Amino acid sequence: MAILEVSNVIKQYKQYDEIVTAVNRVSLKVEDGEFIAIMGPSGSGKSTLLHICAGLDRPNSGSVRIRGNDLTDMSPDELSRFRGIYVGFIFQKHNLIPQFTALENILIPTVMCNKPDFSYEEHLKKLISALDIGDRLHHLPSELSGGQQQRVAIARALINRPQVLFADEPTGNLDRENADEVLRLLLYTKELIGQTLIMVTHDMSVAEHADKIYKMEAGNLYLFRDEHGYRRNSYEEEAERAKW
Amino acid sequence: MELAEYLKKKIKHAVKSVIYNRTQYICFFIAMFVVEIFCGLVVIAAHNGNRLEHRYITDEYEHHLELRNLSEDQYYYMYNDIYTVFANQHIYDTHKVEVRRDAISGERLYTMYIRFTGDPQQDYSTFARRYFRDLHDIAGSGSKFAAVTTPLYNIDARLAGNTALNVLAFLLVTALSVALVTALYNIRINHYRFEYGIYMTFGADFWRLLSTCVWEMLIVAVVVYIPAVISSWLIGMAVFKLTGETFEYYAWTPVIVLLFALVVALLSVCMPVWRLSRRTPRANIIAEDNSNLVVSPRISFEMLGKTYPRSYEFISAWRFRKYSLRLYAVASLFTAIFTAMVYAAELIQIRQDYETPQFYIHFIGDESYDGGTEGGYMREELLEIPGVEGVIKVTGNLKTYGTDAAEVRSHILVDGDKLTFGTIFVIYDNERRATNLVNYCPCDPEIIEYLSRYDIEGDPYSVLRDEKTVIVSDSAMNFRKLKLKPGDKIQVAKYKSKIAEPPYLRMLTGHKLLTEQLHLLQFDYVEYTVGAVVGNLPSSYNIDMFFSNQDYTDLTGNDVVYRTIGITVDPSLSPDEVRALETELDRWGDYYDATVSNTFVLTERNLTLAKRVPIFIICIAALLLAVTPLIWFLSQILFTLKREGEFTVLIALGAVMREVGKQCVWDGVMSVAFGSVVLAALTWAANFATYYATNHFIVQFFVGLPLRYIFRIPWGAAALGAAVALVCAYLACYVPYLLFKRRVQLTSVAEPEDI
Repeated sequence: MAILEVSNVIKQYKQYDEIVTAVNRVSLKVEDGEFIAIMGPSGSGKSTLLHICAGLDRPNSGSVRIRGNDLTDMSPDELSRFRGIYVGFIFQKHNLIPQFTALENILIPTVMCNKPDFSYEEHLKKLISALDIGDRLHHLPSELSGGQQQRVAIARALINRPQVLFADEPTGNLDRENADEVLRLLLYTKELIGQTLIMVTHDMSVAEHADKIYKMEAGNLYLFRDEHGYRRNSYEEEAERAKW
Repeated sequence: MELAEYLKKKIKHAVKSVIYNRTQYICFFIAMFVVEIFCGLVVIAAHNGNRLEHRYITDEYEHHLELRNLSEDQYYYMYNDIYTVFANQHIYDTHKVEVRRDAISGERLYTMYIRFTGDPQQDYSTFARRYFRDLHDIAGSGSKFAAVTTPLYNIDARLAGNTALNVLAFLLVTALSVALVTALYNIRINHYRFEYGIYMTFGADFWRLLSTCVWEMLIVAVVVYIPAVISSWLIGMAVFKLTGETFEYYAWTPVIVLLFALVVALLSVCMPVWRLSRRTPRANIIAEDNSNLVVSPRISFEMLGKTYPRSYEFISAWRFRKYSLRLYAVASLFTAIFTAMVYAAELIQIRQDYETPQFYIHFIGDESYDGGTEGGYMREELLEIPGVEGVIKVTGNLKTYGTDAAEVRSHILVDGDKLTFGTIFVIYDNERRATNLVNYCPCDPEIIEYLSRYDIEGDPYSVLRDEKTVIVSDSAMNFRKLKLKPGDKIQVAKYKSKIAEPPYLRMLTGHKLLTEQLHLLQFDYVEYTVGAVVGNLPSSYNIDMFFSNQDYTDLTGNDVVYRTIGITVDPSLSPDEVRALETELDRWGDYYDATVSNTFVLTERNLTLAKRVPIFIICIAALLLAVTPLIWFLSQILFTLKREGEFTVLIALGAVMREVGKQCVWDGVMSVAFGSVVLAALTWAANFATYYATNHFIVQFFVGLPLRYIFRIPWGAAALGAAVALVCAYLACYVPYLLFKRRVQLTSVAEPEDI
């Protein structure tokens, strides 16, 4: 069963007298344990789609299901609780909470949704070791470099062992070396925890590691490269293929 | 032309910016409106105070000088004054002459009311030089002639003195206004530090930063100017008219208020911008998300197992403690100033209500006041002056006949542990300390009656009953110096002989003199028992000690003779009634060979009441209290605006909206708890500072009355201030959450049909 099912999702915004369609009838299925990359030019709607899939935003129509739970049917509070249990999210700008240390930032999700069924301490140790942030745990975000902040954000997203991890351009603000490091860490922790990873990225070298690459063009999503390596070049080509 | 164009461009840009940011500028509109009212009220109070003083005095007194109880010869000497013939020597007119007959001799006694034609000070000086010696020579001994100046004589000096006080009040109000608006502007600057950090990165210096801020504040100051001027006019009018006085609007008020507003706006922007420009751009840029307000920890809290939102918010509050303390301190400071201003108004009222004698009767012959002894009849006579009512109190000595211990080469010895902390006496031996800063006073039932108004411990009448017993005041300069109890012993030194007495001793005073005397003179010590201790007695440099008349005479060599009586009158007497009473007292004085002098205290009292100074202070204090919520709300709204990102992240991580609300509730509860501690401390400090300055300096050097204030906190005002502050402390944390929640709800998903 697909862990994530997106069906005919539409997201539109009204800007003055103009209606902007950020996501145009997008459907998507992601299997358990897959690594999906979503690429596309700026303004194509990929971050909007990601937020909708993670339950951080609501579509105008369509449905989003995670593990069979329809996010679009949930109230805001139910959605919040659901996110705390099932979803991890890595923001592009880290969004670490400034008054808490790195360690405290990592542990904030445990305060929200305390999962009693496993040992946080063991899991925390593994994450700290894997992300190599042991020597900066008691520093504030303002005292960390960009790469360190991103690693803390990854640890925060993973502390509750979410079933699906959404990452919005996690390497977008990093240099090559740090970007490679973050990708390696994401892939490593994915293997460690066995979660599904859905990532928005500009970086083809990052996306190449994904099981599937999707592309968004003007709100339309198409499969650019499947797990077998087959590529399409455009949404039209994909649409044509879908016709056949 | 260039300047005009520049100004036009700046003003236009500033107006647009203010309109665009009008929501944020609301609190500055309110603050500038209030401080401009402060200024208007001070100017109105000053102008009307001087006007009323001038009117009261000129209405009541048309003469500068009274020559009282002139004998016939003296009168005709003045009547035939040759100087009045020469125009250039003519310095006075005789406004009125009153005649009465001496009650004993039947002789005619004249009172001349003199009005000077030129400058009263100069003319009086000339007058005294010309006439007083001759008048005294004509009178001979036993004359009751007296020359008394009226309040009209020194009216210019009085008004100048008032003006000096008014300028001081104006400066205080300006300082308060600048402090208030600066506090608000600091909050705003802190919110925009990120933006200014970016400007500074691209080359903006202090002047460039200032120019982006100051024009907007000047626009704000000008926008509220007319409503503020009108409001201050209405409030001032209400204060005077509702209390039955006339009111006059001072034409310069609008000009002064405008200048004041521009100065306050300028200063309140300059200082925060100056501090901002001294920081590095980076230090400002990290302020985007409140990072600059976080106190850097050395360890992390144990988050596992903690609860949300309570523990979460406790930890947040701890990390933001520097910001929180600063907010509590600044907001509570103005609330504390409000309470202190109410206390100051009370102290001024106490001063105004303080009863002082309107007349003093001075015995010039062999008679003296018998009111202190049993069977005395003078008091009864004076209380029942025939034909005239109004005498409410007759007092004798009131410790005006004390003898300075240093004058009679005396001092006292007290156990060292009986001194309060910080009191320094001369070391006599291992246990005892000496001081000559003591007033020895005689004591009688009337004095004891006077002392009983204050805090007395022990039996004061023991001084009249028991041998070698004394009443001691525990204070000097209105400071408590001694920790004595009834039954304690004091040694009083009586000079016996000298080893040497070099001339330089005459130049020494106080403890320096005593230190030398202890080496060079010899004393006998008499032990006295403390019969009673008086607390809170108004005091000057010396400690007062009250002895029986016999002990007083033994110690000082002076007989106890009361040569002056104070006559306190009903404050509701009219000026004519006061004059009639004075005439009757003169008549009484004829029987006892005494003269009467007028202190004009009722005029002073009515004047100070008419000026309504305490009411103006209360008005300004109330406006100040009304403005303090701005500090709470502006600071917390802008602070929470920067935390909205955090709230959004928390919701993304699994928090629900009502939990975010509870977070803000906990924040509010902590603000109330800690804010109340800070408020209590600052309120105590502000009131104590007011008490200290008033009781130990102003009373000593400016009031000229035996006055002593008690330290207290006006609980009504303190409770009101606390209620306003703590309600604001709580709501300022919760209201921003409601705004955040509303914003989130407004941006929630809409159906396609809605678009």
